[in-house]
Amino acid sequence: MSDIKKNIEERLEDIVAEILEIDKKEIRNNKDADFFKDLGADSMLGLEIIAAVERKYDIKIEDEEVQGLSTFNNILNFINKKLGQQK
Amino acid sequence: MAKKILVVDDDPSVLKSLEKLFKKEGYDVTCVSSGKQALDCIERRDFDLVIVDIRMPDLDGVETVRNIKEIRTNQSKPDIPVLFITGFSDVVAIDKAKQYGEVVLKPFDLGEFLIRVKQQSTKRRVVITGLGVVAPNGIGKDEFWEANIKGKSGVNRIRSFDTAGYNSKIAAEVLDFDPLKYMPNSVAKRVDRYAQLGIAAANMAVEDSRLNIEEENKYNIGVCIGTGLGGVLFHEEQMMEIKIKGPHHAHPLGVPKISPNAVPAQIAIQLGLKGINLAISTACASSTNAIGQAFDIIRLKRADVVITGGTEAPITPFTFAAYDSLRVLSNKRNDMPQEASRPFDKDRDGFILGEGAGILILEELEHAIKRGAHIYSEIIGYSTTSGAYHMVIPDPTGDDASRVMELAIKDANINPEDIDYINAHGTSTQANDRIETQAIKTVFDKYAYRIPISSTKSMIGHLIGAAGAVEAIVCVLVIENSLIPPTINYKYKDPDCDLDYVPNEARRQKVNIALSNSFGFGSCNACIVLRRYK
Repeated sequence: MSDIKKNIEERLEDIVAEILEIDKKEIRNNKDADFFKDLGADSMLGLEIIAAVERKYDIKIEDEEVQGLSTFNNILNFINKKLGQQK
Repeated sequence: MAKKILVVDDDPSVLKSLEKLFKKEGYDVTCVSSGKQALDCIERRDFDLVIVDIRMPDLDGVETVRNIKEIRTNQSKPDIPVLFITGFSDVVAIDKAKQYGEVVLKPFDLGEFLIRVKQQSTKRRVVITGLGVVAPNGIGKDEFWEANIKGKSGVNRIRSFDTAGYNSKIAAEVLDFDPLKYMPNSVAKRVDRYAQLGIAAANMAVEDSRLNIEEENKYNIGVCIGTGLGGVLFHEEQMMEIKIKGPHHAHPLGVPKISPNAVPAQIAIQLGLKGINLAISTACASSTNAIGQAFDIIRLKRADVVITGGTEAPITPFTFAAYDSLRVLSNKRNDMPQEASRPFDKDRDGFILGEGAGILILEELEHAIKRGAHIYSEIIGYSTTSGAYHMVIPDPTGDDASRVMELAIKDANINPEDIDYINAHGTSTQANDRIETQAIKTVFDKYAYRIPISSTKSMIGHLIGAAGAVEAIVCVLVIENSLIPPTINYKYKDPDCDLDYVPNEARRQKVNIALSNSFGFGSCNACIVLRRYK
């Protein structure tokens, strides 16, 4: 992984770990775990993750786009796509 | 179930007619013709009301009631309300009797009498069974009380933001407050500082009261907490964020974080309380109002327990600037912060903004006794009024201030001379301290000079919405410890403020009944009266 990509992924690990109050190890073990079904998050925590991602990466996430963003990998891919578009 | 009345009168015709009257109204009546017989009854049975003639041979009415109180205390049972009846206008005897109960003069209007009997026999009494406080000079009840007795000031140069450009540079911040000691991180990071202080104090108070919150009682425990401003810190931070980075940087929890009801709501959520849930906001009178409303809630049978008090964290760049701009803050002693708050002193130049929280557990008396709670004191009176004068300036006549005190004393069913201690609003502004002094003289006349009066704000500054609650806690501890904390920084006598403000040193004195004032911006006034429970 290149340095920039590592940074993006690590930052996302920090965000999810902090908001869901889980260990980063747990995130890395299963990056396709569903926040709501598997990790016990409620809709408010989901919203906090989305808001933190918007702030930390300075991107805008529309209402329709929020739907699919319920796993670590989904969000990571989404961020990379958005940042790629912005260049 | 029929209320039980004990009637004590040496006149057989009075006994006969009252027995007939009460039986008709559905009461369970017991009639005796002497004080001694009354005491025998009290030893063996429970009553909801005692009606007693003042003038009786051998043991008179007042002596009888004094003995009844002793018997009940020895039995660890609550006081029984008393109605004295008398046909003689013996002022001295009537005055003595009023200390123990209401007095009805014969001949009396039957309808009125029956209403009073109903009121007295169904009255609920409210006591304080738990305390929690986070203050600039002490975190926790014991540390706070120690600091008060020692006259320790919590005022310092402001640390939480840069005061360059501000006239006043001092405040009473709560240093070393670690919210994680009192709540999980998941709560701490989702609430504003004002709520952290309140939740911490609430947890302390609930623990102090040893109240067990269970399935059966969680619907019966209310929360009623005051704040003047709510979550201003987060509000200000967010405004900066959004201005600089745009609206999508707004934190999704912004609204619940800054709302004035964040604290009562969070407390209920954390403890699982499904009763009444209220936030009260009347500026500097907020928490006295909250306590008073909690008192009423229990009196009205809407709850058996209410977690009440107030919390405030107003030391923030905008809010502080606003107070600074209003020119109500002290700014002459930025280099001597601990001496700046000097209520009633001639050289006072404004108040010191403070932060903190005070929470009290109010409980219905029988409920408290049944679970073996430690009872601190009893709340016996409350009043709240508007001066209808100005958003900031107090009415110079002090009429509204004296009126609120008079009403609270009346609600407490006592005389002004029964007050042993006043915790003044005492903000250290020229206007408040002068006007409050005048108002106290109006209510108490010459007796005003004999009442010890102290201002907690001399040590911890003005906690705005939390002031009333923290000051009520001081009153509770004064009664509990027979010790009055000083008004510190009292150096220069102001001829307009010539009462006894317990200057600079704590004073050993037994206090049975204490009164606490809060006068808020907007002419919002509130006053409570507390009495020793024995």
